[in-house]
Amino acid sequence: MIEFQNVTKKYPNGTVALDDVSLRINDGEFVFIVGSSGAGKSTLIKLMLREERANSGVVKVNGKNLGKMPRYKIPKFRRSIGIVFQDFRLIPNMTAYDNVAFALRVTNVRSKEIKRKVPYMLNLVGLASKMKCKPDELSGGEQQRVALARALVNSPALIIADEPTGNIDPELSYEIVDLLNEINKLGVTIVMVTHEHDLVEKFNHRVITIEKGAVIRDTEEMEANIC
Amino acid sequence: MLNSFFYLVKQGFKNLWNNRLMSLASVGVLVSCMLLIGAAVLLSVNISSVVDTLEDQSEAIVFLEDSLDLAAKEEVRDGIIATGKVASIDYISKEEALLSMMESMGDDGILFDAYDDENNLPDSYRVTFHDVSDLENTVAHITALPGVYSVSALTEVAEVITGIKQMVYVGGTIIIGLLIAVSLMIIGNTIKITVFSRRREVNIMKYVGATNGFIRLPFIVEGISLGVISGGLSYGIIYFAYDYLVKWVSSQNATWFSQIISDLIPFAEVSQYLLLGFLGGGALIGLFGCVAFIGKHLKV
Repeated sequence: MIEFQNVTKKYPNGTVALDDVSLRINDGEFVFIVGSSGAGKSTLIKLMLREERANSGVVKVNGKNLGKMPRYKIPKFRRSIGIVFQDFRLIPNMTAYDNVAFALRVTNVRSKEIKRKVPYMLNLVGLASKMKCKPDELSGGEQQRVALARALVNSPALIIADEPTGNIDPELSYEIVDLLNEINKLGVTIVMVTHEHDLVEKFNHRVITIEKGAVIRDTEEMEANIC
Repeated sequence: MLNSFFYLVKQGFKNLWNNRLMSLASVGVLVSCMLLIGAAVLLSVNISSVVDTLEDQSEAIVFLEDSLDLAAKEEVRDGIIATGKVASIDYISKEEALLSMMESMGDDGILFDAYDDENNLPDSYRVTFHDVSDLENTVAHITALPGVYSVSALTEVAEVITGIKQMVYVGGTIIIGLLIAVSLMIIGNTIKITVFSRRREVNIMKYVGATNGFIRLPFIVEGISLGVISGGLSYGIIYFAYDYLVKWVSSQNATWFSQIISDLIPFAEVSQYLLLGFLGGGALIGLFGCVAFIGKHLKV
């Protein structure tokens, strides 16, 4: 579960990225976060990953109060989350296999287990035949699928995807979100930041709209009001 | 845990090859700096050795008064040794002094045959010093001893030697110190560039949940390896260059220059210190450089 209680984030240059934001995302939900550039979406993600700390308010992820989390506990916390970025963020000199395996290695998983899990995961995202390819030998869509396999390999309860379709063509974008949709059906919470309204409309999920650092629309609340 | 350790060490070696251009640049910079430092050390050690040889050769002749009996001569000897700067002391009787003088004159030595019965040369001590600094005071002290007639010593030469020695020591220390400081700055910048070029990689590792130690270890292995490789290369280059120099000098006709440097210190005498310095210094620079410069990129 993700919970923001009256969160404000102000950067040292004076920019107020988030202003008194409160929201709650329950376990197993699929949520789109939309908004224009500079609306505060990336800051929201940074706060969820404990890359930044809120100036005021409380940010809780998976039951942990991130504002009170000491720096040394961050790696362990991040291992419990799958993260997918717009620019894939694969390690360039590692093969697809090694990139996925890396997420397991940081948690001290045994080699035998790595050899079992990684091919399974790459097979799941349709890249079993490209395990030995390095990122620059893969297309944008394939790279994003490797990143997805890496995000999934530790069996996280939450996946945060920051514009995962921003660098790939529309057809492949649909495939990626469809894959996330399937993962969500297994009970994994998905938070996806996107610009693409077409994509949001195709999948019937909760949409949170952020503008100028504030939540201006939340489809869940609207449904609750109608009822 | 051990599993991860071996993986990370292997990763460090892999990174050396994957980033071979940067590795090559780092080795190039390290080797250049180590060669400069090594050459400065060898030059300084050799100048010191030449000065030490000159110092060993400087001597004083202490002439005794004519009337001294054996006990009085012994007292003078003890007084000279008591200065604490004596390396050797030999008694030269007036007969030996005359003989030596006649020998030094060659065929003309027979001219002194007539003085056999009327030898006016004094008894003396030939003294060499292990430390010629402040020789003037030492000579004055010996001159003042009862039973000493006069002392003959090249105090000006000793002063020059002492001056050169101090200059080599101070100059050598400053030059080597400066070279080490400049080297550290250049090496630091090279490591900084290496780490900067891979900051994205470090960043990704942090997002996946890698601890700082997990990220650092391959960099440390890489840094130490680069340092040790550079140290070994520098040692090899200095070894062959110095060996070539020694052979070249010994093959030259005797000139004042080759005379001075014909006594070059054999490489074996300094080799272990140089090897230890190069390998140890290289490894330490690599280790601390990586640990210091990577820290900035770990705050994600």
